[in-house]
Amino acid sequence: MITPQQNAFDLCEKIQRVIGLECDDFSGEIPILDIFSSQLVRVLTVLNSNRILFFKRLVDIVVVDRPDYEKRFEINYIIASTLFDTKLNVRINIDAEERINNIYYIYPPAYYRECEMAELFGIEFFNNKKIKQIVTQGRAADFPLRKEPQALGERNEEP
Amino acid sequence: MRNPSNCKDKSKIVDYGPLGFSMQGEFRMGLVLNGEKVDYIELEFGYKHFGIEKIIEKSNLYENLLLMQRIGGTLSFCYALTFLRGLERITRTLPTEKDECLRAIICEGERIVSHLVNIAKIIKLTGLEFVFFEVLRFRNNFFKMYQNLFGKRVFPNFLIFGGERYDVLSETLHNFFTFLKQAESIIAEINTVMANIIFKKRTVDVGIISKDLVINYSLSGPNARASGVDYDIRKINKGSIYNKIQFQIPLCTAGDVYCRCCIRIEEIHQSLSIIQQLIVLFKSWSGIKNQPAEASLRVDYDMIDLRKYEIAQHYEAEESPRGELGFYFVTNATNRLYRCKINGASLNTVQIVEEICQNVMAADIGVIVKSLDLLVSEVDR
Repeated sequence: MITPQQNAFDLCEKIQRVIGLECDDFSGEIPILDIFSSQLVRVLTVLNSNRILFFKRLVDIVVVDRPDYEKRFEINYIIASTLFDTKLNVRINIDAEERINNIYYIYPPAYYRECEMAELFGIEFFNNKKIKQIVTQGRAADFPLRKEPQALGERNEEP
Repeated sequence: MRNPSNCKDKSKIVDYGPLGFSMQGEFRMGLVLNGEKVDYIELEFGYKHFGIEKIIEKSNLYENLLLMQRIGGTLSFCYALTFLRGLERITRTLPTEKDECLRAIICEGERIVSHLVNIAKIIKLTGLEFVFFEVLRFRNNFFKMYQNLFGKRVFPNFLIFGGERYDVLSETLHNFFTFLKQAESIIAEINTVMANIIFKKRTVDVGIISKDLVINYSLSGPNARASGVDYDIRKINKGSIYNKIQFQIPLCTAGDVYCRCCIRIEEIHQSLSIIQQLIVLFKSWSGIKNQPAEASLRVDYDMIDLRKYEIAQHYEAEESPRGELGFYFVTNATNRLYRCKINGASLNTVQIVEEICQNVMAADIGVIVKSLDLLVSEVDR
């Protein structure tokens, strides 16, 4: 019987053959591929269009904010292969000022998620023309999902 | 929104929503018309936004579970279950097969009601008033059955870590099944409506989603299966209770509104057969009471402390009636979740509306959007 971990190892061997990058983190059920933000578009384009891997499905994009770290935003692009029922987590870490590439022309459902990233976390993109506000409609003064004291509403106000 | 950038003649803009029977939730559509046809369509959201992901970070696990039931309306059990299942994987308090069986039965019941309500609303939108009130009565009685099962009507606060609050007798479940069997008589009536010429003219070859579009936009659930994409998480998830029973995934290739209705009807039949098989499975464990070993696993929320467990990032997905429902958990060294991302199927489905609603008749917009079975609280969150 094939265990999920064995399945993940097979997947990572294939990925290494195709794009020459190694997955190193097998702690969870989804193997993680750590890359630089400059490599993002190239890696996702290959993973999307490759006939062996066929990662056509975008499952989700998750941003985690860690203000104590040097690179505070961890962005997880979770994609799935429609052929092999396997998932992969492509992960990048960026600064607050760093800009990243849009991927909605590779994965169209990423569009609303990128709008939310810009709106709720304040992440900036190279192509900001199409980015619009979806959820808050200009009502939020700050970036609500950042882990800052202002966003939590716990500001110490002096009398 | 009130002034779409591409439209010069403002007399052609028609606002749809945010409230109305033909809307699937609270959002606004701006239609730019050319005669009776729609040139393009713009969507506006944010009417239901209450920052649910921020509330999750602030509240404890028990409060979060109560909150999850409030997202989906009739799908209260399904949402709470998926959320809890992710936490159970992190804390390794896995339920027994008997508990899994009971949970699956109630989820399938919710699927039946959700699909029936959707089809009934499509039929009413096409101008035929046959089954709508019968289905509403059915939904009301479904909540009455909830009261028999859990003691509460819409939001059954029934789940705990590794199990349920109280045991359910197999006779009660049998009553539940005989009640759900009434759906077959409603379906028989729906089938006569679907043979109607008016209904066919309004739905056949309307709102077609091609197979490529489904794959590109990562659709899931009945919308994907109506276009011929065989994707069902119940089959994919290994080790779930669904691997022990036999059922089929209905597929269709046309991808229009009529096809989506047919897929939902076939899924109701499948759900009924799933429940029948699960009750037989449930009865085989009926002699087993809470054994001491199991009882130690069943802990209330106050006992669960995330600080005792390893820091984890975990993605949990489940097949809800609308499609894939996923939760991404990030924990740290506190008793609260550091981050929880809700991934509803409607966030993908909503983005396809602008694509498929070009050059269709303005009167068909309501039927098309209704047939996609959106849930706007998944988009706004």
